Amino acid sequence: MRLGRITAIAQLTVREAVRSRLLLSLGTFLVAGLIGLPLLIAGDNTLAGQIQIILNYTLTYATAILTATTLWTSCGGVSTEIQDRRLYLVLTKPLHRYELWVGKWLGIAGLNAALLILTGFIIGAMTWHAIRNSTDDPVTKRAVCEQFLMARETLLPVTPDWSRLIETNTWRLMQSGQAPRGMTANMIRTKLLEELNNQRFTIPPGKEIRFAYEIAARETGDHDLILNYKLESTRPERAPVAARWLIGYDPAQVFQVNVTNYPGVPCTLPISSHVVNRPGTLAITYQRLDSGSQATLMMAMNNPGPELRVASGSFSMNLARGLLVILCKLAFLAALGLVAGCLLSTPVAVFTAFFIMILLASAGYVESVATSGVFYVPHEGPELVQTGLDRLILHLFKAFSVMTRPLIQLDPVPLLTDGRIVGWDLVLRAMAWLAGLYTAITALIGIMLFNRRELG
Amino acid sequence: MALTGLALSELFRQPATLLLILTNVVCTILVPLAVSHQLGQQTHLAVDSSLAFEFVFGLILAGYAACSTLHNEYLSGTILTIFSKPVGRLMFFLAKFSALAVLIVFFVFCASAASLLAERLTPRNFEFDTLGMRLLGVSLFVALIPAAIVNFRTRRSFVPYSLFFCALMLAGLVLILSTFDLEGHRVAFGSMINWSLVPACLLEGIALLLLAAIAISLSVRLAAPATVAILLVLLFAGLVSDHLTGLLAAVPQAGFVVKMILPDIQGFWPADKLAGGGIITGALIGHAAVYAAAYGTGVLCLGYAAFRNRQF
Amino acid sequence: MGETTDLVIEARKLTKIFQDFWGRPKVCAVNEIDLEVRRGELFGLLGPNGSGKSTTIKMILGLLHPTTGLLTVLGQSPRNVAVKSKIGFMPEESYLYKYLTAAEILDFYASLYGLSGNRKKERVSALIAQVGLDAARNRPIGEFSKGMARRVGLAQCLLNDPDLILLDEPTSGLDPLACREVKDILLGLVRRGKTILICSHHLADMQDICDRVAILMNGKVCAEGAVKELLINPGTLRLSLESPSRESLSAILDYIEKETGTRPLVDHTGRTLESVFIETVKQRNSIP
Repeated sequence: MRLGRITAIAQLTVREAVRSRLLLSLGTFLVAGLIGLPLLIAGDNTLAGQIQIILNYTLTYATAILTATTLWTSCGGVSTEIQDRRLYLVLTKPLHRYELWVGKWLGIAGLNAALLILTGFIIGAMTWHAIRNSTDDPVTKRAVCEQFLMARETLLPVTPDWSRLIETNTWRLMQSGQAPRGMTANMIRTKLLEELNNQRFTIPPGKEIRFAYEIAARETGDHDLILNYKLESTRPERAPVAARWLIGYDPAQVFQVNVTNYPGVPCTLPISSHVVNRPGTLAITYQRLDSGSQATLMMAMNNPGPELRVASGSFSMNLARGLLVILCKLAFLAALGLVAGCLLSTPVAVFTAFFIMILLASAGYVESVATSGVFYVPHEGPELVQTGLDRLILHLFKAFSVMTRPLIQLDPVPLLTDGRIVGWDLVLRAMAWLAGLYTAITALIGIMLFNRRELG
Repeated sequence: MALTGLALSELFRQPATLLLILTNVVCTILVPLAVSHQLGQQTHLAVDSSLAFEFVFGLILAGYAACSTLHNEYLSGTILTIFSKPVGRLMFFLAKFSALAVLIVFFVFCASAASLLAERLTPRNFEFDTLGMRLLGVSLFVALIPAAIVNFRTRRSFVPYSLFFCALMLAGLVLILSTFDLEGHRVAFGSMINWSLVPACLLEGIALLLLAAIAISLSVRLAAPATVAILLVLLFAGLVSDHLTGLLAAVPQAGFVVKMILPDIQGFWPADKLAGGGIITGALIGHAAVYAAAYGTGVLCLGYAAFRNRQF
Repeated sequence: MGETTDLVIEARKLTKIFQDFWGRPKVCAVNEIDLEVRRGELFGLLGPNGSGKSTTIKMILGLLHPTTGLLTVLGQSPRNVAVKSKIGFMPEESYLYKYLTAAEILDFYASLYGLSGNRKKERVSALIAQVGLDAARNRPIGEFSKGMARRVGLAQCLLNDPDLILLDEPTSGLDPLACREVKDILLGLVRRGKTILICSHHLADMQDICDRVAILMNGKVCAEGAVKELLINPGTLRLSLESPSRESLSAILDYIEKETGTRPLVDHTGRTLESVFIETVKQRNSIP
């Protein structure tokens, strides 16, 4: 019977949205934007650029529109019914307030799911249309599909174990008295590790750099692999660099390809599946052919090595998982909106929910402040003195960061636009944290406050 | 006058009005924090961001307030009691627009003050005016206290008094911070403020009045979400109108129609004009005002035409 | 309409004070009222605007919480959700979902009462027929007139065959024929053992059907009791007799004047405007 009541409320929510033409207007707006935006935005006239525009802009647009309407619908859904007293007739029935809340939440989640399915179909249709109508040759089309319309896992090179080397050198420096004044053993270890990493990625002119990747059985297959890398130069003029990639398991049998790269520009190198055809340790060597150059290069300054992307699944499943993560986000926002709508008038509820959403979107900034302990670091001038107010606010940031930490890295859009896999672990994390724990906590607080609210 | 006064008092008592204006002010005065590491481009980014906030929040306020003052009168039925009095539809429609215009002017005043303060507090040479920032942050809360006291003592609505005291506080802070430098030393009055922002804000205010005219005309038929959505689309389309007419180059007549229908938002966007030390002249503002008046009048005529025949 | 000892609604020193944002008392809507509504009676709650009638009803429904005092409904706290399965409520205005049809609205409310399947369908159909909305069952509520919406309001209140029915201005906005129908329905329900509490300004309707009434003023009960007892004016007497001749009438009046010292007023007994209206309309409808 309880389920029947909750289902009745959910059905009512959906029916109202359909009959009030909200669903129709929203669907039209969504479709118009999904189709219109990529047409309006001028790309680089390449198929790859077009695909990236479709994926990036449509997903961002859909997420933005559905976020805004979810908040508006969930806030307005209850607060409007309270304002025009329709909820009085409902709450005088044998219905717990939590049943009303859950029913509304399920109804909104259902609407979002339907719109996300529509979004998925449109994105799929647009990418298919873009590929079909492209004037590029089949090889280029295949390369673009391999790069962007595939779910790829990222393999990073094996990090050498320098612990013994670091310990030995640290002990030697401390014993010989050559350690810089004021540096502890831990500080020396950190510094040595930093220097070893820098050396590892530094490529002087005419030299080479080598990386090892552990290839598992499931990572060999029919699809090409893609190596993503970026070079940085010590010279400001950033002249193109001639180099050679050597790829293979056995030094005697390597696949070679000559490349010319510009420092500062992200590069990709497709590696045929014939080359990486068995499990084992794959060696990838970057050999500079410009021994006369004066520029020293750094490979992948901010990442632990070039990324080797291996195909792990289809684009459609990847997109479906990405949309599922977005649905989990929308479910949490619906919960936020419903809580706000149960307690506040419509415009104030929408505002409050948006404000909380923006706070949560600032999770990255909050995390950086909480970790570093400062809001702003002056490069020059007098050192800033923290007042009591600053310390209090810092504590608030730290508390807030504990809550928002799980939300960082739960955005599937950058993964989908880059052809990276939206793994089931990400989906499960989104379901557990967003649609599960956070929604439950929000619901508990909201229902508790709603139970105490008088409707007079 | 009575209708305008009534509409105005309704608008100034709505919590959403306070929330939108306050949020715009808070977002604007937080801009200096966000642009602190921009390699010499801080003031430029602070100005751009402040003006962008003013535009977007002003648009949302115009859309929401237009529907709240006109569309909601249908829904609540109060429009019937007004038209049972000797009140003409044209007078009613113009009174609503006048009230909305006054609200927008008030908003532009607050937003302009916030923009001046944001530009003043932007770090220069990596020196951060922490005293000024703290003063600003505290003042915003302090400005609400008199309104709370009035509400406690007299039971009068909190919202209009909050708006009044916030506006007063912002004006006061502009005067104070224009007279003291980063170390707290007294300087020539106004020397610490970039007054060239004032015509920029004025230009944006004219654009917002134009959007308010569109909003009130849309609210004859549409509710708040649809009105705000269409305004946002018009804003976006207005900003990319050049690109759109370029796309329609093959059909010049269509491009011409699009150019005529879409409001020329680019002409009101002052950030481009301020870039590189440019100034906004009186002539430019005059041209913009004439364009806005003409376009706004046309839009209001269309809105009234829809309202005139509306049955209740 | 016999008296029973079961108390369906019991209020003892029931008080409701609305507070402002700062927690200070703003309005004392209900001020220490004592109220008893017994099983099987039709109880009327009267009072001018702002006297506390609607506030009392909302407290009975659990929408508002009493500030102090005791309130029980069917022996339980009004905030107990289970007790609402035995209550039907018809508000003053029909706050319905305007995009749904009459049948869908009733179907929805029936689901909330736990009805399902064929039983739900039959009940909904029966009630739609009972309130005379068969022809409009599939029209959206937004297209209904006020009277039609009120009928839907009445139908949803009876969905669960409640033991206690609360009605706020049930005849407001209805024509005299519809009023009569509603009153007949209510009287029928009382005969079946239901308990009804009505708030209304229509004193003639209340006088017509209520067993007992309470009059509220400024949140306090000013008068309470059986209608007949309240209406008695002990200082006067009314005699009804077949119209006598002029001479006989004069003699009777002279005698009474001699005995009491005042000459009585003489008038013909008449019908009510309601009965004239209903008779006229029915006669018109019967003419082919």
